[in-house]
Amino acid sequence: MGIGADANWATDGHVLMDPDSHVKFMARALLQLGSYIFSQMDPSIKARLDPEKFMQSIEYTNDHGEVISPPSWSGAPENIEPLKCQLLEWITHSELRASIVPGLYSQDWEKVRDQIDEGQLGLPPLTRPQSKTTSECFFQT
Amino acid sequence: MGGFGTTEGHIDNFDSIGALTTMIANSRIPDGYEAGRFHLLWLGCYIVLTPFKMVSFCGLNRHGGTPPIAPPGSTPLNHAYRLMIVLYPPQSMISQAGRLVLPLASLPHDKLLSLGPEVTSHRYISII
Repeated sequence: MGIGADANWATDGHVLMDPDSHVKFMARALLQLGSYIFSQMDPSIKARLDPEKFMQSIEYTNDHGEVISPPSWSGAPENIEPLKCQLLEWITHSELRASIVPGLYSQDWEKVRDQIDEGQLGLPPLTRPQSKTTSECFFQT
Repeated sequence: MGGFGTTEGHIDNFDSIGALTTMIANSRIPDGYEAGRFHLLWLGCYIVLTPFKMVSFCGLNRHGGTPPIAPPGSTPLNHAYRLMIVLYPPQSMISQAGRLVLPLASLPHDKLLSLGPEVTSHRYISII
């Protein structure tokens, strides 16, 4: 049994990236996936991945033959605070740009800011909706 | 790419609001031809697309191009091609939002493990 024929980052990422970047990219994607899955569990047990320990648990051999781990990640799913500032800066910048785009005049930028301030980012527990929905982008068939 | 070549122009809906599109004209149109023009419809102006002219603009505003034209009565030469290089700022690459679906790895039974923005963004916001 081989792997699927579709191009993917695990198998083909080395074409675009050196080993350091490739492992870092894969490690971050796995951390995101793990955090996303844990956020579906019962919130009272607070199951989570520690981004720092997660990165430390991964090893690979770099171009110099050294066995190392990918670096820690300040933008990890649970480290939302540093990202908030960056997001707010980006929104201010985007708002300025949007002022010359007629189609975006009606965009409510204050609402976007409020979403960030109110912590609607980060990893709130995910709950099952009343009616079952399907995701087209996860486990494609 | 969206539709182009229409008199109404078009909007690049997948562009990020926070960055500009840059377009490089590199056509080698024979002398005497109309070079083709790039129209920024909202500003009411156009740029004549002679070689190595670079235009940076917001693709979320309506824009469009008109083609090179051979002189009246003459048949266009075979090598009279337009060449434009367009550097888009896709929302999926530039901002937290986006529609990017990441094919991460293979799964058994010839399936693909793909991560959507629900997984790879910090509870993404749709516009930015």
